[in-house]
Amino acid sequence: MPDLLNIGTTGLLTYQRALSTTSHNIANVNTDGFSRQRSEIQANSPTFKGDLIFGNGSRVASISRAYDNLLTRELRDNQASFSRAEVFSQLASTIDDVLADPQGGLSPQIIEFFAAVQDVAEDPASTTARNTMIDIADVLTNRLTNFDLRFQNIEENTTQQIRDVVGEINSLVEGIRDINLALQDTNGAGILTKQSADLLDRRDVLLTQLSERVDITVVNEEQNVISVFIGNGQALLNGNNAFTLGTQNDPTDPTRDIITYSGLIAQGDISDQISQGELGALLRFRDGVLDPTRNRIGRLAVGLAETINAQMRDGMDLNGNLGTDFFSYQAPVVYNNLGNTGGSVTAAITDVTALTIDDYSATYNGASWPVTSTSGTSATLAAASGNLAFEGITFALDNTGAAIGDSFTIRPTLAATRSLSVVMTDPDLVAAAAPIRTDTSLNNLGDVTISPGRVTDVTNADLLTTVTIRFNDPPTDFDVVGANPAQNGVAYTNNMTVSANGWEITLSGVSPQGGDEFTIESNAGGQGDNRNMLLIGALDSTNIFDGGTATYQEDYATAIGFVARQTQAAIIDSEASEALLIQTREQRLTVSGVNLDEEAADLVRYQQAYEANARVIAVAQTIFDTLINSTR
Amino acid sequence: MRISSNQIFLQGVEAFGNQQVKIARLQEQISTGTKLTRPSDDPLASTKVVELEQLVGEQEQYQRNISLAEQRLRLQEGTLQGISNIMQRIRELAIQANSSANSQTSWNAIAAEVRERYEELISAANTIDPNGDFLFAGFQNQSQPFTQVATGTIEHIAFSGDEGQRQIQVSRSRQVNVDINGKDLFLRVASPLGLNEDNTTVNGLTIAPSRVFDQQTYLNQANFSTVSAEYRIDINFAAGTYNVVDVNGVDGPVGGSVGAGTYVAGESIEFNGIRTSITGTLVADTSFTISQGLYRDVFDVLNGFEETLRDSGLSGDQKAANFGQTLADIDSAFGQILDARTAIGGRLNVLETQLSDSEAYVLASRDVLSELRDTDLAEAISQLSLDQTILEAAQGVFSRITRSTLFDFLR
Repeated sequence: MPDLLNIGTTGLLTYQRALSTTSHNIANVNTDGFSRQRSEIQANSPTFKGDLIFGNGSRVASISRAYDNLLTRELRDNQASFSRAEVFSQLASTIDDVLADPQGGLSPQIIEFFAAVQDVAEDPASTTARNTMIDIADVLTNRLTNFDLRFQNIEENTTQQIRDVVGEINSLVEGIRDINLALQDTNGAGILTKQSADLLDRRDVLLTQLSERVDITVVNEEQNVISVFIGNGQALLNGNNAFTLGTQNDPTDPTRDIITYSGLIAQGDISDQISQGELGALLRFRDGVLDPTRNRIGRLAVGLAETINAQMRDGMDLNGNLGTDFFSYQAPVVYNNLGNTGGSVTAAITDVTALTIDDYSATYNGASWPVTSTSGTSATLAAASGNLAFEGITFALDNTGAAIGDSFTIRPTLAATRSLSVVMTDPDLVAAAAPIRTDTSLNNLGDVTISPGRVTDVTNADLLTTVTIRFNDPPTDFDVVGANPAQNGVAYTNNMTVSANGWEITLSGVSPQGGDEFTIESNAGGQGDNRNMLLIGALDSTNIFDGGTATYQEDYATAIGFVARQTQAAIIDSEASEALLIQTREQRLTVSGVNLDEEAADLVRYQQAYEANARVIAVAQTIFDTLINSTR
Repeated sequence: MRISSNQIFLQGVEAFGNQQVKIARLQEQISTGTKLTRPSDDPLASTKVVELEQLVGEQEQYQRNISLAEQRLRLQEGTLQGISNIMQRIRELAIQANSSANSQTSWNAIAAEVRERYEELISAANTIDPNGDFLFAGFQNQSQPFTQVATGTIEHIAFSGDEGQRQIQVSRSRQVNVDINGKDLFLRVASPLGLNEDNTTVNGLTIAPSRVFDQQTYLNQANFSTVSAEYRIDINFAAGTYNVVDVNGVDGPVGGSVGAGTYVAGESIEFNGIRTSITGTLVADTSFTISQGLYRDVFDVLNGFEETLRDSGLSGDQKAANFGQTLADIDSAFGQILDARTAIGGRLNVLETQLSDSEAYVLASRDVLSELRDTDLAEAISQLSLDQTILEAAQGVFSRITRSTLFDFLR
């Protein structure tokens, strides 16, 4: 027959354990990821005596944790979205800050440069104005170089962070594997010995930390063991086997890293499959914000250089020579992909208006060269080698020694920002004047006038040859003496355009007279001429980019707007997902968190039960004493 | 519903954090005066701000251009006023000279003043602006455009400028001419006495700009009103003589000789009221053609006037005729000056209109910029005090909630 003493003892032990669970809860009130534990108290199996059944006291059957699997999974998912949004918004903000700095931004420099251009136009013979224009252009190019240095820093940082995060992922996965292994520990009798709530909590914390870095899928296996997958189902942890992620240089572009996976089945580049967590944010920031912005600023640099150089070449300098380039910049960067056996590709920018902000890849397929842009447009050179003009770039493709599949990456505007510099150092070389001027003979008897003239082809070898337009008698036609090829007996009409030697002029007037003469000659000595400077000044408000739809400043504003929208969206996204994350955390805390008042109540409850059980033992002792004394 | 102790703390901390972020943002907006501290605050407004600032910068540049253009035009106007004064004085002298009461002595005295005014006029034609550029030289404004030269006996002015005219950008679509064409102003004085030389240099010989020294003889030739005058001076190398041929028969038969003599380099050749001079060493038979033109230059008018005054060989009638023509030519020159001054006046009007347009534009743009960018202080400060109140409330609630725990009652 069960006796009071035994029953009291089970009660004492039960409440001792219950109290220790409660105190464990209190001790872990601030432990991250801790799930409060409960002692499940059961009655011991009864003893049957004849037709009577006696209870045998109580015991703690198990320690359970207050846990909700769904909430834990939601917490991981929300954590992954939040980290992506937060890291992305932080990264995007760095560019946001670079572009919009009122002192460091590009916009004021462009305004100042064109103000300097106007000052030269106002007084073209002034060496001071010309020097100022060159100096301010230097400031502009330095600003661009600084921009690119900051972009480069951001890129290097991004690459370093990608490597760090991949390393952290690998060590977290190892930690999870170790817990998986521990959970399977058994004693000699084959009974699991370490199925502890605390271990499970610890593993959930690691999983949440892993979710911070990359989006994962968790699958529960037997005996509380889990497997972890990323991307399109690549296993990072398969029960007891951990697989690693790695980084390596992109074979098509040595300036960046790709994420590699080495598992049992899948191998290779999985960068595109990672979208969430810090890693997703880093990759998406690099490809979706940093590269397009760098390329756009690069294109702006190319645009400034190409348009101003072209106009400068159309003019004449103080020495009476045709103008030369004002800016220089580094030609498109071409990466020879690892594994190429031969071939060569060079690229040059030939049309700024058609230039995009894309990068390109050219692949030799045995007979031709398809060239594809990052936005998906493509063109093909239908020959083994030759030139292909595509989107404002001329690709010189050469298959010498190339095997099928050899490919090249072309980044047209990447180097322009950093390399833009002013090559014109002599202020006299600033081509403020137009190369030609026109003159009406004082001897003319008719009323025909000649326009100041316009250069249409500065490369014409005879551009600066003195040409005389002389009316014949009767003055119905005229000869263009000095034109190459010769133009004689040209019929005259009012307001007609005469073109020769790379220029064009307009003759207006109703009554020419025989012998009337007009001269078109080199503008050497025309140091007061500002016509070319006015044309350079007009470039500021000329629509240049994207097929002639955007000015320099509008294009720059587009860059700012793009980054600002990305940043703003990321900030909104991160605020929203933070709210969601906090909500999920609170829901989890509602279920699993420790409430000190609750524990205090439990403490009182279990203590009272403990005292009562102790009383039972005391009663048992009293009964025993009574018995002993009665027999004395 | 259950709540865990940590939740109370987390919620409190989160509330403080959010509120403090809001307050910090407001503080930044108030202390910097701009609500667009970074583009992501408002991407659309940021792009607009960049574009507007560029437009404002552009307009401010135009305003500077306008003020420089205005200075330049005012300088030109002043110079033209000075030239007008010179011409006015010469006109008075011409009227004074055109009187039979004058003796040769008094004509000589007038001639001396004409010479003074002539030098003054050349100096005005070579006016330099504050940048050191010659005002009436066209594009070639770094070298003096009007220089005094003499070819043989003929004193005249050589022009080395051009017809180039500088424009200044005063709005995106508008340029204003800030140059006066010196060639038009000084060299294109319409006159019946205009003479053209087809080629000034032939076979190393140079012919001077010919001048009518006796307009009575020149204009009164037999067929002057029906055919235009044209003369060919043939110089015979072997004989060392010249012969002037009337090409159009303005004075007698077509091809008839109107003058002949021995060629002496640098000496005057005179025929039909025209005087010219040829310099250089004779190397071969050489011909020059002089034909009737439309224009004289203003310096030629003055030179001719002075010559007439000093020329004692001319009769009173001949002189009177010359003086009459001088007056007419001076009026013609006044016409050129007036044209130039009218043009300047028109340009100044354009500049004024452009300036007020531009200023209005900048003002409007600044309003928009301020709306897009500047902090509304009243709103920001009242928002700040609201946010502070909320923060204080949250702190108060937090401290009250966390003050009591059941453990306090367990003794």
